[in-house]
Amino acid sequence: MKKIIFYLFFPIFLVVNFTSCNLYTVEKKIYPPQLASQIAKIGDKLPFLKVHMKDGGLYILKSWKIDEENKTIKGKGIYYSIDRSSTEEKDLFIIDLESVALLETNVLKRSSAVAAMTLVTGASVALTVYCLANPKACFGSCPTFYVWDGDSLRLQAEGFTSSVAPALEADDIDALYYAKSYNDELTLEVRNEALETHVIRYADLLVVPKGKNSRVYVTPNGKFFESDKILSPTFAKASEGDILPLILNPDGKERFSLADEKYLGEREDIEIEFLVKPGKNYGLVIGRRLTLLSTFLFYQVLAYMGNDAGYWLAQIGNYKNQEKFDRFKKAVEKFNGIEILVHRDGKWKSVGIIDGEGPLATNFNIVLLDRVENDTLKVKLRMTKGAIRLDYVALAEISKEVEPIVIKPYSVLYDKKESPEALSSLLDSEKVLVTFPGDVYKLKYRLPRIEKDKDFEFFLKARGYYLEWIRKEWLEEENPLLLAEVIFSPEQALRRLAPKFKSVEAEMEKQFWGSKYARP
Amino acid sequence: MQDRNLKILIFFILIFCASCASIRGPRELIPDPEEVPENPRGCWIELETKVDKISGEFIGLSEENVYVEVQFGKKLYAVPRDEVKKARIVVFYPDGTSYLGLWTLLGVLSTLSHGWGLILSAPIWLLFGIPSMIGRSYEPVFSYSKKELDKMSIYARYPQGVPMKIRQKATRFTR
Repeated sequence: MKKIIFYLFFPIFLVVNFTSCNLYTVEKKIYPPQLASQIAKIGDKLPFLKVHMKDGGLYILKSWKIDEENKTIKGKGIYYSIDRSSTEEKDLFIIDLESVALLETNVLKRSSAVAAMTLVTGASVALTVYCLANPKACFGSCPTFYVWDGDSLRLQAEGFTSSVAPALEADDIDALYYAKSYNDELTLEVRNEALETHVIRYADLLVVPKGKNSRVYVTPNGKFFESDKILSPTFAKASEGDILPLILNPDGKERFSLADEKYLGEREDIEIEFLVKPGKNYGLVIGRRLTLLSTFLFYQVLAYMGNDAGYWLAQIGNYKNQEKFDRFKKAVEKFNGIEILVHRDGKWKSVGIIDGEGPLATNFNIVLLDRVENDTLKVKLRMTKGAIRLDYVALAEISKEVEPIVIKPYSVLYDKKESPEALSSLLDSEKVLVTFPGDVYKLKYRLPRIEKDKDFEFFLKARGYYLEWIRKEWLEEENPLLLAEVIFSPEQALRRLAPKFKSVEAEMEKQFWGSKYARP
Repeated sequence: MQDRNLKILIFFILIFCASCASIRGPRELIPDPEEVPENPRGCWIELETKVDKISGEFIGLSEENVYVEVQFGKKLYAVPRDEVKKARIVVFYPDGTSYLGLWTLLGVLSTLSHGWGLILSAPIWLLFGIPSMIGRSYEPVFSYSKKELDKMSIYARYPQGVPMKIRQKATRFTR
């Protein structure tokens, strides 16, 4: 860390120091001799005084004094002749104010450019120091997919969020909820914006033709349902009170809570009600993403693994550890997920869990509910306190189950040039597209023709995994004992880590989400 | 940061540097800010007349003329006020714009340590850095229209008015 500070900030320090000490501007003022007394008052701040004589001569005085009583200026300096061709230097000139035409002062002031830059430097250094001190608050995400939303490129999906090791390579379906096609084509921009290596097996576009006023949602297990009637909740209450305005629309205004101070696994409930038609089939639609709590914990685990992270991640694929891993995976799913309970016959009955997915893009899923018998449907969302950002909750009346059309990219651009190799990697299941920080690929898809009164719902089906780069700062926290605690006694670890997370929680969110970029 | 991105960044900084004030005067005749209080000469002036341009040391004003001493041959010209379209005064040489550019570049590079925050902090560096560079280059430059010529007298060698002895040496500026 000291090296980073040195290499990064020593040059800045030198430039800042040099520039701020040497950038001046000049404020020039002219006074008639009658106002000499005014200059006398600020004389200490003026190392030089120019005395312009009526005949055109000039005195530049270094140390000087105005004798108001005798109406003279006394000082040491240089006299310049009218045409400035000759000079005379004296320790004491006595100049009669009567023969003076004007007095000129030139005050050196610090350049305002330095003031602005100093301000930014201060803020920037503070942010850097914060990031170095809390490396888990900065960096990080999985492959990000940007799609045109009719207005701009918008982050709409994170690929295979949970696939943090080769053994966890998995399919992932994300709704491209705001995607708009253009000229019978859709372009996905895949970016690697983190210190990670992304390995993408494929990135297929799933399109579902639908009615103009319908929407299609995907269940956590990959089934698609069309609905032409979406119901908004009539009541939504969390521990802090009414949260209905926050979850009515998928507008980025999210409901979230802060993590518990003593136990990061603490659960909370949100109660939601809908007015429904008995006898109809409904599905609960939820748009949400994770807070940075799970990111913090994931990075903390990697920090505990330290230099042996490669070994530990490889153990995930070892069949001997499968049972332990499955147990751990379930605990993670519960931690990141939202359990949905429906009130029926005076009891709350669990109907499913929606996984939390990643912290960047809001993901939309539907969970099917049993046939509704009453005209009021009460639903409870149970989740880890401080772990979920809830953007949208609605009830979709199910019209029918639909099948998506799978479309492979027909062109891939890298650096604005066609990349047949990248395209081939995404089309051949034996190959993979490997991306590194800063890489941006554009994937182009041709859409099928549909009837005029129809539209498309878009989804991304991607498969792959990513490898987090272990940051140097994390290695300082390498600790196999604490890693064992996380694996074998996660509850205890969640209690022990609570104060650590709480100490950075507010700032972590602020730093991470401070950018518009991160808010879909 | 990829090489390409770094090139783009440098390109942008250079492009914006092109917006900085261009000082056409010789470096040795335009003092540094610290030298201004001790400099017995007038500021550098660039006059645009109806027919031509003239630049040199700003000697002073009379009711009819603007007096400029050009560097080549130390020749004094009297430019009739009626001929002047606009004037530009350079009080000192705006040193440091290159340091501000370097400061901005290093600042942008330092945001690599901000992680996601760099998406916000890097543009902020550019938003402050580039205008600071441009602003710095214009700090010593003052422009005047024909009607405002009297306001620039404080920058003259003779702010009190050009002595007759000097005026008599002047040649009328016509080209």
